[in-house]
Amino acid sequence: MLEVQHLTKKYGKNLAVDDVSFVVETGRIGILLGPNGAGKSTVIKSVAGLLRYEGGIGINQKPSKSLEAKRIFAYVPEIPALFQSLTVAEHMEYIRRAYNLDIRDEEIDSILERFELDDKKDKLGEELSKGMMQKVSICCALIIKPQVILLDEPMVGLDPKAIKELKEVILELKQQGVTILISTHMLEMIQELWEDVFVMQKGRIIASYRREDVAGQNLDELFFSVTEGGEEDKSDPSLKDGELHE
Amino acid sequence: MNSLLYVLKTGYKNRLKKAVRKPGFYIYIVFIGLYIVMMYNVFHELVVEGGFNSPKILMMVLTAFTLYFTPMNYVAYAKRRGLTFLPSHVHFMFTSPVSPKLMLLFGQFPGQLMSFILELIIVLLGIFWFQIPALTMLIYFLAVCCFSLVAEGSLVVCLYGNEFFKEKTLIILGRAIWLVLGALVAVTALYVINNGFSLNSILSFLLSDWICYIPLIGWQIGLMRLIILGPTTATLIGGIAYLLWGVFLVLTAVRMRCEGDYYEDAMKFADDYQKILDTRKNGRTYTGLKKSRINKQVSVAYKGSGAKAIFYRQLLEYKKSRFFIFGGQTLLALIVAVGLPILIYMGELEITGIGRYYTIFGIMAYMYLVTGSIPTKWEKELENPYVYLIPAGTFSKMWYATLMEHIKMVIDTLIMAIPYCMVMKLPLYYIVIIILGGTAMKAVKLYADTICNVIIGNSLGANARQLLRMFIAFTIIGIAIPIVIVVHMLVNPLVAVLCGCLYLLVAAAALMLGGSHAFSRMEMTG
Repeated sequence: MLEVQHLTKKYGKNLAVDDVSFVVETGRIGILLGPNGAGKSTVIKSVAGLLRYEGGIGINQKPSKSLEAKRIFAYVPEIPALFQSLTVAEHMEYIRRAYNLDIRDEEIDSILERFELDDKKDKLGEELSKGMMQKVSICCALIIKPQVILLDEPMVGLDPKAIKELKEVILELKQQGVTILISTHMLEMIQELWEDVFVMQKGRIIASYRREDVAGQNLDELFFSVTEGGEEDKSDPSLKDGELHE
Repeated sequence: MNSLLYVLKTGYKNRLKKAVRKPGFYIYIVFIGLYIVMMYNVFHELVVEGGFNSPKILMMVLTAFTLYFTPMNYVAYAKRRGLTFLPSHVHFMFTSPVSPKLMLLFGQFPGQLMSFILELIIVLLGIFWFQIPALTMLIYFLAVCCFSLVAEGSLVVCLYGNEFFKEKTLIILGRAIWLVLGALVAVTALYVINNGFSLNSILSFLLSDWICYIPLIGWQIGLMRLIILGPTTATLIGGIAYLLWGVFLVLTAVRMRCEGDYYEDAMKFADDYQKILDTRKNGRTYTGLKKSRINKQVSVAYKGSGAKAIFYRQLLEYKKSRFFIFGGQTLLALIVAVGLPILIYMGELEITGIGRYYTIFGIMAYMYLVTGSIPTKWEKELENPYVYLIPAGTFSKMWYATLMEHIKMVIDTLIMAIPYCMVMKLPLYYIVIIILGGTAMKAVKLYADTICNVIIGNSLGANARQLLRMFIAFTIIGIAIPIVIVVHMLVNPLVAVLCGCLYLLVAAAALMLGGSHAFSRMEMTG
C-alpha cells in the first residue's frame, strides 16, 4: 500500500504541491493524472525520497525514506539516467547487489528479452538511445521484484512493442499483488490499466475516482469535466483516507 | 557498500578498457609521462639543488595549502556543494536501500582519492627530498593523511547530511568560513606589507605559533608540525585538539540522523555537473550562463526576416541577461584599460617609440587567443535545429549568428583603445585602426572554431578539435607578424598596422565563407 498524507512541497516561495493526500491500496493501479506543471513529478519524487517535504508518505506502512521501505520499492523516473560506463548487464548486477536480490541470471535474461534488450547486454549506458535507456530503467525496476512501484511517464520514448509489453507487465504485477502508481498526462495510454485515478491541477488533487464507481464512463470525459469545469474538490473521500481501506 | 564499490570498480575498468582502444590515449600517456619527468626535474633543481629542501620549507608549503584551500572545502560542504553526484546516482542510488551517509562518502570518493595520491607524493618527497626520516613520514601518513581523510569524510556527513540545522544556518556558517578566510588573507597581506616579501618573512609568518590555535585548520597544521618539526606548546595543543576534533566528528557522523534530505540539493548539483561534463565533452568551458538570466520583461522588435531573426533572438536573450552583452572579455578589457595606464604612470611599464603602435595588438592577441574559449550564445546556434530550417543562405545565417559577437568585439576593443591612445599620445584615428585589428583578430579565432567543425566534425573528439582550432587561429594571426614587419621596414608603422589589419580582415572573411558551410547540415557540428 502507498499512503500519501498531507504532502506539501515548496520550491522557495513557489508552492508546487499543496496538501495532497491519497492512498493506493495493495495490488491496485493508481494513476496520477494531470496537465504539465500540475505537480505530478514533484509528488512522485517526494514518494521516491528525492525531495524534502512536509507531510507523511508510507510504503507498506513504513516511512518512505527508511531503508526497509526502499528495499521493497522501485522507481522508474521520467528521464532515465544510466551509468555511462556500465553495460546493461552491469546495471542489472548493480541492482542485484544494491537490493541484495536472490534472483537467477535466467530471470534477468527473460526480463531483458521481453524488452528486446537481450542483444544489448554488453552495450554501455552512454551508447544507448533514450528509448533503450528507458527500457533498461524499467528492467532494473522489475528485477527488484518490488511490492510498490512508481512509474513517472513510463511510456514516453518507448516504441509500440515496448509500450504493449509494459502494459502487460503492469497487469502481471497487479496480479502478483504489487501496488502501482503511474504518473502521466497521456490518457490514452492508461485507459485499460487504471483502477484509481487522482487528477491533479495546480499542485492539488481536484478529483479522484475508482473505476468500479464510475463504470462505463470514459476517463477522458472524467478528466476534462474536472480540469475544464472549475476546481471544486471532487475527490472520492475513501481514496484520501488510508484508514478506510484497512 | 558492496554495490557502490561495484559501480566504482566496474566504471573505472570499463573507462580504461575504452580508453586503451583509442590511439589518443597512448599519446596522452606519453605527454603526461613527459610532463611528470619535466616537473620532477624542474622542482628537483629548484628545491634540492637550490637548497630549499629543509623540513621547515615543506612545512611552510603544507601550511600555506592547508590554510588557504581547506576552508574552501568547508564552505562547499556547508553549502551542500562540492561532491560529485551524477544524474545516474540520483536515479539508481538515491532511491536504493543504500544508507544516505554511505552515499556521501561515495560522492566524496573522487576528491578523497586525489587527496590520498597527493598525500602519498608528499610522503615520498618528504623522505627523498626534504631529509625527513621515513618513520616520521610514516607517522605523518597515518596520523595526518589517513586520519584527515576519515575526519573530512565525517565532516562531510555532518555538514552535508545534517538534518538538524536549517538551510539558513548553513548559509550563515558558509559565510562565516569565508569571513575567516578573508581575515586570514588580510592578515597575510598586512604581514607582507610590514615585513616585506622574502622567504624568511614568509617562513616566519607561516611557522608562527598562533596559526596552530586557529580552530580546525590551525589544529590540523599543528598536528602536521608536531610530527614533522617536533613538539612545542602550540603544536601539542593544536595536534591534540585536532585528534579530539576528528574523534568527535567520527562519533557525531556515526550517531547523526540522516535520511537523505540532502538528496534534493545533490539532485540539482547532479544536473549542473552533468551540464559541465557535457560542455567539456564538446571542448568548451561551462559558465552557467542561465543563472544570470533574470529580466523577463523585455522585448525586441524584429526588423527584417530570414537569417536576421537569429540576430534579434540573440539580442532578446542578451537583453534578458543581467550584464547584457558584457561578459568576461569585457571585464578583461576593463582591467587592461585601467591597469595599463596605471602601470605606465607608476613607472612599472615603459612603452616608447614604435612599441606604442604594436603593444596593444600583442595584448589583444593574447586576450583573444589564450583566454577566448568562453562559450557565448553564438556557439549554441550550431546546436539549434531551428536555425538550419530558416529559409536563408548559409553565409547570411553565419553573418547574423555572429553579428552580435562582432559588436561585442568592437565594444571590448574600444574600451581598451581609448585610454591606450590617450596614454600613448597616439592620434585619435588610431582608435579606429585598433578596433579594426582587434575585431579582425577575434573574428579569425571565431571562424577558426567553425571551420574546424566543418573540416573534422566529431571524427577526432573535442581535444583534437580544440588543438586544430588553436593551430588555425595561431597560424593565421601569426602570419600577420611578418607582413607587418616587412611593411614597417619598407614604409612606416602606421601603414604596417593597416596592412596587418587588412590581411586579418580578408583572412576572417575567407574563414567565414568556408565556415558558413557548417549551417548546411546539422550533423557536421559537435
